[in-house]
Amino acid sequence: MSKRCLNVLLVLPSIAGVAVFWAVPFLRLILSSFFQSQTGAWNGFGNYMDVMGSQSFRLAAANTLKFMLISIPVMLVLSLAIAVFLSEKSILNMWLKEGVILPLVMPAAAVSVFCGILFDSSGFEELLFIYIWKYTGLYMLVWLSGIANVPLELKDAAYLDGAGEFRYIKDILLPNLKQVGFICFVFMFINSFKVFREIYLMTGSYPDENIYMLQHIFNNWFKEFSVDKMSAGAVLSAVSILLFLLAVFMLLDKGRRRDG
Amino acid sequence: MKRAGKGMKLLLIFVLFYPLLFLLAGSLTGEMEISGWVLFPQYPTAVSYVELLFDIPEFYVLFWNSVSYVICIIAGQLAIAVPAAWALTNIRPALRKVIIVADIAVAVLPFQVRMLPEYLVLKDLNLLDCPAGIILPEVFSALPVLIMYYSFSNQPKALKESARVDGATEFQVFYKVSLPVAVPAIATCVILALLEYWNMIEQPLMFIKNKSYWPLALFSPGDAEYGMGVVFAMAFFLSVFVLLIFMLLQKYFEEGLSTISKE
Repeated sequence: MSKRCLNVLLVLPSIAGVAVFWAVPFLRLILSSFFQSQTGAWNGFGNYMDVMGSQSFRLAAANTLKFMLISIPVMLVLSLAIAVFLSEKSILNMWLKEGVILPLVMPAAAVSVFCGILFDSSGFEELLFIYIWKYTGLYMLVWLSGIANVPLELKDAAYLDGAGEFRYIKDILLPNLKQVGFICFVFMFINSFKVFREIYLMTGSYPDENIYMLQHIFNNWFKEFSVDKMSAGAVLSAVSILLFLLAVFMLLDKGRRRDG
Repeated sequence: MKRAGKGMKLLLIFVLFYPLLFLLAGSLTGEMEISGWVLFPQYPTAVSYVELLFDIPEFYVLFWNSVSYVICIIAGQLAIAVPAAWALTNIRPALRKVIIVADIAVAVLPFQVRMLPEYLVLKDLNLLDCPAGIILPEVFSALPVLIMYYSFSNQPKALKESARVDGATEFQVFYKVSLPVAVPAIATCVILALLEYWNMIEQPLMFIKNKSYWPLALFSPGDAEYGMGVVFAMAFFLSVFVLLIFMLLQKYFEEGLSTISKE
């Protein structure tokens, strides 16, 4: 079998699957977002107007944004700090690491048991606490993998030159972690949409108004089967997510080029 | 100073593991005793575990549902993503770039965006309300393809070239040279998928009405008639179960993450 033939054979199933289950349906969604689903008539940006005008969409978008704006910076700093603190290998550090990861592997049912006992109510702050407690361990591992890639010689050289721990972290370690930091950020960004899971376990399908997230409004539209709003809302979300990530990536890329 | 640091760490370890201890204590406590934060039950009893394992059929069904979902999805993802990612490192750069960008775009979209399109596809394929409808879309996830691609492309080029010079066929290069080096990255995919699909809630909640196909994550013990002891026993059992798998793969997971996060 020729080389080219084999490559095509290996890559084709993945491309076909992505196309059938993700890409083509999504293109169809973009198209349908400009039509009225019941009459099939062209609606221009009408569906988008409906979505933007909807009070509950604005509430959900604002809540989701607020949740991200608080949880992502807190988790970025917290997980990095713990990773730096635990980067030296020792038995105690190993157990500390397992401890930080524990909430991540704790099944949903266990977490909901805790929520029930720890908190009387389930509002925004409680959700934030549970979410950060649960996922910080994952990002700590990602940071640790980046720290492991920073050559040890750099550390030795810095100490030989008389730099203290603090100077080493600030001037050598952190600048070398930009790439990993970006990966962490992207994961946090994607995962913050999944906070629906924690909310579902804490409160079921009908949460308090201040933790009513985008996933909830989509679920509601799904139940009412408002296809028009769903497709316009989905396209709107997708475009803003992709544009935002692209902007962050380009900013980082520009910084890297400037640094050489 | 150093000793104080050690003491602090021991205390921290205790705090971090406290939830697990709490679940264990709760599960060993007799029904009557549970009234708040107990650490040492006065009359330890395994009755909750007996009840969980023998008297609650739903638990069995949902537990095995979750296990089979996770196994099917992970096996499928690896079978599709690993060969595809390796082939991606060989094809023309222009074509590769298009595929990678499309994969990234698909991988970052949250469920709220995917929900309606996914529903329509499943409806067309007659896969609604059946386990395959949950498994198949996830098998073709783009994330494992990306992880494996970055891991393969960070392998030294000389590795493949020297195998080719030695007369290995393309398939042998993949199977005998690239694949063994990529084991940590595979472990990374497995762990990420395990964490993701063990706790999968959105898809089954929306696409599966028949509750006998539900995964364990949707089992809400709160509204059932079981005692708190059983809930604790279940939570403890599941925590330890996943934690053990995780610890088993952790070394590779960390190694795999570093091969990916290299420039």
